[in-house]
Formats: sequence, structure tokens, C-alpha cells
Amino acid sequence: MSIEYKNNLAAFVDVVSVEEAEGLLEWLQKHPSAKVELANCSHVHPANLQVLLAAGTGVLSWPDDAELSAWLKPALKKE
Amino acid sequence: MTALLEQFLSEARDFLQGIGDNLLRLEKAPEETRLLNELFRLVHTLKGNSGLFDFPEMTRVLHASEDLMDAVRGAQLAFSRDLADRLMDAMDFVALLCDEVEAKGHIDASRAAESLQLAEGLRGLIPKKAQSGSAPRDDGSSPAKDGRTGSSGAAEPNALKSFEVPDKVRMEASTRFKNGKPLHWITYAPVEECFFQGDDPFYTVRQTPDLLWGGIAAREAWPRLAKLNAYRCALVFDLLTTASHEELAKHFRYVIGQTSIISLEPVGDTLAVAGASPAPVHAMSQARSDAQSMILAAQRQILMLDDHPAWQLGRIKAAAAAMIACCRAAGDPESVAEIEAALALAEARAEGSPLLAWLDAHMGGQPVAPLGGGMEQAQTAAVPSPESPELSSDTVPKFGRRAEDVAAGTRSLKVDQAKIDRMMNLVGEIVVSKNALPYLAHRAEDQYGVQELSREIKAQYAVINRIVEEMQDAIMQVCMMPVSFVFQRFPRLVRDISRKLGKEVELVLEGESTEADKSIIESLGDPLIHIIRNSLDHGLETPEVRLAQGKSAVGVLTIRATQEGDRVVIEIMDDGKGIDPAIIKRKAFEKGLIDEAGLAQISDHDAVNLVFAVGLSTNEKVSDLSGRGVGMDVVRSAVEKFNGSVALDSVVGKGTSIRISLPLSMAVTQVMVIESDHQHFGVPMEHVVETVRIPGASISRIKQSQTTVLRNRIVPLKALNSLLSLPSKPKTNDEGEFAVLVVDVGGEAVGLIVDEFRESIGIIQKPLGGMLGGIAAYSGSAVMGDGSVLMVLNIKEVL
Repeated sequence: MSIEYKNNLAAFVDVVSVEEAEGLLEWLQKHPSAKVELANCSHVHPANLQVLLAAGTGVLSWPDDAELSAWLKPALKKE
Repeated sequence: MTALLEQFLSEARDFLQGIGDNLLRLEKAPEETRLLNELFRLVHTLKGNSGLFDFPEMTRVLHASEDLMDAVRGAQLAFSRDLADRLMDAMDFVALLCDEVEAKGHIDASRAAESLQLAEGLRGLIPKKAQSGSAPRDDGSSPAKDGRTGSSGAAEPNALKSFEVPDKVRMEASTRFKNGKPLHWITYAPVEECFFQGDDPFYTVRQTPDLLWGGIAAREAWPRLAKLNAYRCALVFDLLTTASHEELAKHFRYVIGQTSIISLEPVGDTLAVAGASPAPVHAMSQARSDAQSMILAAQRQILMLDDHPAWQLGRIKAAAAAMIACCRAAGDPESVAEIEAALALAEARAEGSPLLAWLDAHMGGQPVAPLGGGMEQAQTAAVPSPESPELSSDTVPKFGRRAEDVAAGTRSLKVDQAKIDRMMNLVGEIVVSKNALPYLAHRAEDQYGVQELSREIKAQYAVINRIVEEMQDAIMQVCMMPVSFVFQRFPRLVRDISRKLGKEVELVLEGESTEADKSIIESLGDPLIHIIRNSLDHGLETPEVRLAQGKSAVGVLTIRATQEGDRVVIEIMDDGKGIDPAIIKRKAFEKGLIDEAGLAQISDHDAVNLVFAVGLSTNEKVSDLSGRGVGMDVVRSAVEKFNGSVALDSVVGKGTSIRISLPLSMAVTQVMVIESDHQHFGVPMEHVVETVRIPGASISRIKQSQTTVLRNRIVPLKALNSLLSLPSKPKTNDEGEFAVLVVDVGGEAVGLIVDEFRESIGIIQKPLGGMLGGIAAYSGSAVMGDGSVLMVLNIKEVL
């Protein structure tokens, strides 16, 4: 699974691979105020990660995976 | 160790040898582009091969060597003796790694640093202009822009970042440190292109052993989204771990050039670089601290000179001045004062030891260094151990493997095929000449009447016989290869063809370790490919057809190799639609392969075996795979060339199986010797079914042909004499029985009436040459023990 886009929300599911980054970047340009949901995410390729960082996208829910969550919490913006 | 790895190691040694030879020759003739190209090719191939395995250390050095060679080839750099030295060193290192792999099965993680340093050293030789073109390379070991100091890229040994670490983590780190765990701070700045190389740096850092804390940061401020390139990695990872340096070096071995690993220790409630008092030295940039170490090392070298010239005092002063200037530049007034004190003492004693003592105290153990840069010096110093830990201008490590070193003992030997053939021939001759001994024994007894001697000769013969047989066996072993050598390309072949045809096929390979003579195995390749193509194209049906016929959608193609006595049998079975004998019969008739009478008589089994006849193809349309009517007859002739036989069995709707039987070895053929009209002939053992004595009364005549009934089967009988146009009639024994040799020809039993049976012997069959070569009735000849010549019958042609 990958990214599910709904209205103004992108839900990351399971492993988000490198191929998703381009789409995510485009989508975030069109939806500047969009938020992401990471609860069901188990790994995110850093290409996607840097898109989120660069866009300053707010995070609605942190990954259930505590270790991933620990990585992402300091880097990304809590919404 | 896998077979592939074994092969790689053996080949790698050949390559290294070749590279060494070429380098030496190039030194003599640097203008020779042919040599240069050859050298490049060797390095390139070796690099490619090493990439198959998990040896980044090896691949990295080879890659750098390849880049260097490329620069030389592109005339950006002249070939020089120095260059050759460096390349040879690099190859010595690769050889060292090969030995290590052979001995331990893997490369020690500690090699990573050496490999990196060596690779950078090699790349450093490439002129900058040339380098910029080839710099963004796979493993990221390309040197960073600022030359040798900054191999660690963005990674400055910067402990200050530790303030980002949450207090809780810091406490935990302190606790673990107190429990004897090492603390390491890692800064990993992946190269920008890393995503294109399939790297996932985040995954790599998440897998870091004993990770305490990790942080993600941007290399620089983010551009506007519209300008952002998602696929240029701009992230930097900082990690805090309690794993050992070794573990970390191993974990980051593929990206060692992009990583810096620093040991830390808790100081108060913060974490600081280990061994550093609130050290301004480490606040300096890496480049400057390197420069400082270098200057201090030079002074140390000067002070160590133990000659005592008139200017000794001046020398001490000069060295001290340089040291003081160094420390002043580093903003270290304490050290300045210390050095001045030491200088006063030194001047008083007129010797450099007080200054040396200071240097030893301050330069000795420097535990802090990034793995990409200074750490290597620390590490390599420990490996080949130069006299002092200073940084001489030549910091390239030598791996100390020169020509005089003992070559690694290789357990496999590459031998020219011709030499083996010669040995085979010689063994063959021994076999023949030992066969002379029984004759000699006979003569001793019969002609000279010395029974005693005859017995002794026979006893001696038994001994020689045993040794020769063992020797023959040993030689055969040398030439034996597993059939997997040909089988290994089939999975891909089957996959490709079946995809092209839209069929689903499961390939089952069995008995891959069955061994046979190399030439036999090699000869199997093409026939098997023909058969597989035929099975896939004509035999197995498409999934829809299969399902409609109640079979599973996936067809099964089984290739099985077994050893039966002194023959290797390869069976190729499919569960496809089989061959319809009616179609074959019609086709064969149309093509004029059989006449009308044949059409009526021929059995279904014989009919399907007609596919091996020349010019018969069953498929309606010609595809690019098969169906041009060549193939199966090629299979047959290829197999028969090696004294093999091929037979086909097919059940319509159930499938087809083809059975190829080949001798295990070409060297010795077992033949049955028979006598007819006072001549001896050999019949290859594989054709012999049995020997029987048949009374004249049991032979019945049907028109012109003679037959007999043998265990309820009608066996046609043919007299060898008449087949060979010999005038005399077959002889019978005293009881009036004929000697009948039942032979198997293409699955049919035929009785050959001969005069007498003799023994079966192993012979070295030689093909007939010259005029005799045209006589199809004989497949070859052999020299017998008594010096006579035995003609070996080609049973198929004779009948």
C-alpha cells in the first residue's frame, strides 16, 4: 500500500516507497494546507520524508510504530 | 562456500594475475593501447563480478581502479610507474580480500576504512577535470569536493548537535556508558544521488544496531516546493548508539564514505567527544585540525633526528616556533605556555626530548576522528604499523603483498584441455598394453609349458589391472562435470520462451549433480535446448487449452539426469498434448520418409520416433522458436556423435518424454568381442542385450527372414556374415546351436548370428581414418592386447 489521498488529507499506509515522492510533491503543491496521517505507516522512503519536511506539512496522527514515531516526531510538525 | 563464490575466487585470482602481468608489460610499453584496453577490460570485469557478492570493500577499490584506468585510457592521465605501483597495491588489497573471503567466508568490517582510503587515493590521481565527469558514482565513495580532508562530506565531527538529544536519552546513554557500553555519534549524510542507486538511507539508519536516538535534519534550507527535487537526497541523519565501532563500520559499510562515527563520553550532563577536554582543537574545522596534526607530526619527525649537528639548537628552536605558531593559530594559549616551558628546558639540555615529550602527550592517543578522514590513519597505523603515528606525505597504505610473498594456496588447478587429453590417451595405451599380459600368460603356458610363470604373470596382471583401473577412474574424475553446468541456463530459457508463447510452465530439474565427461556435458547443451524448445512450443498447451482438458493450468517440464551404470541418462518429460502418431505417419509419408507399406506396418512407437528423421516438423506453422523441421534430427545426430542414443515416448493428451542416453566418458568403450568367419569384431556393450545359444530347430523362416521366439517374443535373426558380405555360413557348436548375440537397436531387439562369443573388454576406440573412414559399418578400431586390430561394428549401420 502507499498513499491514499482524500480531499485535504494524505494517509500513509504501510511502506511508502520512493515512487510516491513525485506524486506527493505535486499533490502538496496543489494542496498547500493539506495534512498527513501516518498512523498506519510502517516505513517511509526518505524521498517522501524530505517532501514533507520541505512542505512543512502538518501531521494529524503519528505512526503506531513507536520507533518510526520517535524518528519523525522531532522532525515533522504536529498539527 | 557456494559454487559461484568458488568460481569467482578462482577467476578473481586469474584476473589479478592478468592485471599484474598487464601492468608490468605496460610499464615497458606505456604507449600500447591494446594492453591498456585489455587492462581496463580485466579490471572492469573483475569489478562487475565482485558486485555479485556482498563485498563492497572489494568493489569500491576495483571501481576506483577502473575509473583511474578509464582516465588513463582517455588520455587524461599518463601511465607512469607510480600509477602502476598504486594499481598493484590496489590489486594486492583485492587479493588480500579474496584470501580473507576464502578463509573466513566474508570480509572483515575493518577493511572498509582501508578500502575507502585506497579508493580515494586512486581517485585522487585522476585529474580533477576528468573526475568531475565520473564522480557521482555508485557507492558514494567519490571524494567530496574539498579534497582529501572532507571525505566525510557534510559530516563534521560535531558533538555540539548532541544538545538536540532529549535529556532522557542522554541519561540512558550515560547509564549504558557506565555499564561499559561504547557511545557513538554517527552523522550520515547520504550523497544526493543515493535514491537513484536504490538506497534508502532512512531504512539504513533505522536498522542501526543499538540505536538510542536518531534525528533527521536538512542539509540546507528547503527551497520552495516548486523548486524541490524530491529525488535529490538533502537529508542528514544523526544517530546515537551504543553499538561498537566494528558493528557500525559493518552496518554502514556500503556508505562508509558518507558517514562519520565519533566516540562520545558523557561529561556532566552532556555528551562530549571522547578524550577531549573542552577542546578547542575539535572546534576547528576538520581541514585545519588535519593540517595542524600534520605540522606537529613534521616537527616531531625533526625532533626525533638523533644526529647532533652544529645547528641542533637552531633546529629545536625552529621546531618549537612552528609548534607554538600552530597552537596559537588554534587558539590554545595553554599549550603555547607549555611548549615555551618545554623549549626552555630543551635549550638548556640542547636536545629535543622535552618538546618530544610534549608532542607525545598531546598527539598520542587521539581517539577522535571521523571514520572517513583521520580515523583511517589511526586505523591503518594499527595495521601495517609504520614506525610512528605521524602523517607522512605518503599515507597510502601498503598491503605488503609483493611477488616474493607466498602465493595463496589454491586448491583448484586450471589445466589445458590438451594436457588432459594426452593423459587420457596415455592411460588408454596403458589399458591396451596391460591387456597384453593375459596373452603372455597364455603363451607361457601353452607354448613354453611354464605353468608357474603363467600364474605369476597373471598375479602381476591383477595388480597392474587394479592400478590402471584406478588411474583411469582418476583421470575420468578430472574430466567429470556435473550436468548442472548445462542445466543452469534452462530456468531462464524456459521462462523466456514460455512467456513469449503465453504458456505457463514449471520447470523441474532433477539430478543436477549427476556427473559426466566434460565433452559429453558440453555436447548436451544444444540438443537439450532443441528439445526444450520443442516441448514448450509443440508439447505444452496454453493455460486455456490445458484447463479445458482438465489439466492444471501450469504445464510441468521435467528434466532429470541419472546415472545408469556407465551411462548418463537425461530424460525430458512434459505433460503436454503428446505426439499423435497418425499425424507423424501422414507427414512422414508426405515427405517420402516412409512408403505405403511402411505406413501400414509401422508401430505407433516407431512412428513417433520418426520425429528424429530429417526434415519432419509436426507443427502447422513455423515459429521463430521451432518448427522448421530441423531440430530433432540435429538432436539425434549430436547425441549419436557421442555414442549416445535417443528415444521418444509419447501418449496423446498425456505428454511426451525423451530419453537421451550417453556414455559417462568417451575414453574407454566397453565392447563385446565376437568371432565370425575367423575374424574378431567388437560390439559396443550398450547395444548388447544378451548372448544366447539357439538350436537350429528353433529358427523359423518367414519368407527370406529368419526369426526365433525368445521368451515369447519374436526376434528377427540376421547372420553377421551375410550382413558383412562374408561368404562362409555361420558355424554352430557341437550341439548344433547357433551363437546369437541379441542387440538393441533403437529399442528393438535383433539377433545377430555369429560364430563364437569372446570376452568383453575395455578398449580405446579410435576413429577410422582415410579410406576406411568412409565405411559406415564400422564405428572405429582399437588395438588389442596381442597387437591385433579389433574393428568395432556400428550396429545401426550394419543392420
